[in-house]
Amino acid sequence: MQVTPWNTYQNRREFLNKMIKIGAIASIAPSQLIIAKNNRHFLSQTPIKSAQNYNNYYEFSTNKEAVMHLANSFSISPWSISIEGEVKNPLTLSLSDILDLESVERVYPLRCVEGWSMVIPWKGIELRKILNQARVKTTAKYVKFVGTYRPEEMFNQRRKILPWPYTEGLRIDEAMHPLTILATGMYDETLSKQNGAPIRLVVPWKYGFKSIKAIQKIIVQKEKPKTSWNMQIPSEYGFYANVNPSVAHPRWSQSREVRIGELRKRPTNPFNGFKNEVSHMYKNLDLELNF
Amino acid sequence: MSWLFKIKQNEKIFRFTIFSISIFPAILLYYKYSTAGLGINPFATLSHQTGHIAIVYILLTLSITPIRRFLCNVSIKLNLNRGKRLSDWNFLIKSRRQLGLFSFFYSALHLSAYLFLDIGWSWEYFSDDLAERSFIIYGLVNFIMLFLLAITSPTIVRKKMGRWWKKVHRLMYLIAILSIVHFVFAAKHGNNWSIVYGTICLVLLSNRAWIFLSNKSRRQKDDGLETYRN
Repeated sequence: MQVTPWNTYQNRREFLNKMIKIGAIASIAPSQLIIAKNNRHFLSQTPIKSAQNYNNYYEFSTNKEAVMHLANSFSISPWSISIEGEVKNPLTLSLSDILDLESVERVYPLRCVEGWSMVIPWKGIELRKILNQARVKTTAKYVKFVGTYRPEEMFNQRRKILPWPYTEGLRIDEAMHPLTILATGMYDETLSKQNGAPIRLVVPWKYGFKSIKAIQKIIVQKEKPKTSWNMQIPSEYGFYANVNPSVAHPRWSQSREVRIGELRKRPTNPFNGFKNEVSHMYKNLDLELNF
Repeated sequence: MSWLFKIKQNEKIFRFTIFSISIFPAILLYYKYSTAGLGINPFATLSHQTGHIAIVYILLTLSITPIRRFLCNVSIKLNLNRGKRLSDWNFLIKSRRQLGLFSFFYSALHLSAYLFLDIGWSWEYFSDDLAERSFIIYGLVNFIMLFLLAITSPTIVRKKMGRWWKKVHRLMYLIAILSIVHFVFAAKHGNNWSIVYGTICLVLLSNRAWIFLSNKSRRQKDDGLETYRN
């Protein structure tokens, strides 16, 4: 029998308490139900040490166990994040502004495109909260995220290994999806630098490289943004990058993954286990082509 | 230099030393495995490190012939008492077989990591990989060739095979190239070890090509007159 992780248990209680306070159990929005259901998957969490000592963060190093040391010198305060582009109300939020917003806690599996995964309890805010605050125009189709360019601190940016600054993108409906969060913490701690402090994206049904770290700008736009990995190797890293065991990376299989803490590989789930929640967004899309 | 040739007289000690050094990475990996010291992703550590060591041993095996030739030339230049004949360095050839067998050994460990830990002996995964993953095919072909060389390495087999032995064992050149191709396709973007391995492999193979293509008269002779030349 698997013991429910404390956070998961706690999340449910908090969630239910909140609902009772509001006194509106009957009027729970469907999306909130989805998340409540998601958190009921009794995923056994990766130890915090592993999550903090094994990081794919190309700005610092391609060696996952070196990132934690190299990220030490990265300065993260003061920090602000701007929301601009196709919005009626462009915003610049300081980190404390974001921390003041209503936070959520989510336990998500994170699946790296390299074939390993972790289960991490995140703390953050739903991205749609901020986008709604900025009042996205109806002309908006995509959201672009821009990371940090600081070669003097981010050691590996001196190599032209990827187009810097790291850039990622989502379709507007993906960005507005309640599962998509901006994380500022994990495991009841503030986000560590090697995990993308002070603020990072978490899109649980996509490969980890979509979940950009140390975000500085969020630009809502009409055209599809050019993203770093896609620009570097377009044949291997698509714009969508949905976790899909049946569409292989051109060089290696995506049908299985090593869960950190285990020795053997296990099968990978379509959409990283969020098929019910997100597959409707891709009904009219050929996922073979739009990998 | 005379200490070196005393080693020649004690070939067994020399080979035992090579054996001890070569088995050490395997023991270390096993020790780390049993003490949970393989890092955060033990699967990756096991499969990557056995692969790296296998490539290193393939390149070491290929480096014996050029090293032998090089040492011989150095001895001639320095006009040393011993070492001017290629055959003075024959003890290196015996350790070449050892190194070759170790490259087979580490490839076998590498393949086991794939079979046991990655696909878990699933025929379905295996056939999918063969159909789609080119580097799996390169690796597998390479392993089969290494296996072929390993089973034809005992002296009895070698004698039975006659001239064919040398021809078959030239497959090692192909194995070296293929193992690096395998690595290039398997490694993630930003991993530059392939440049290091590729350069070493290029040097080792082009040295042979250079000798082969150069004028016959310039090739190393081994008629015993080297001792008097210079």
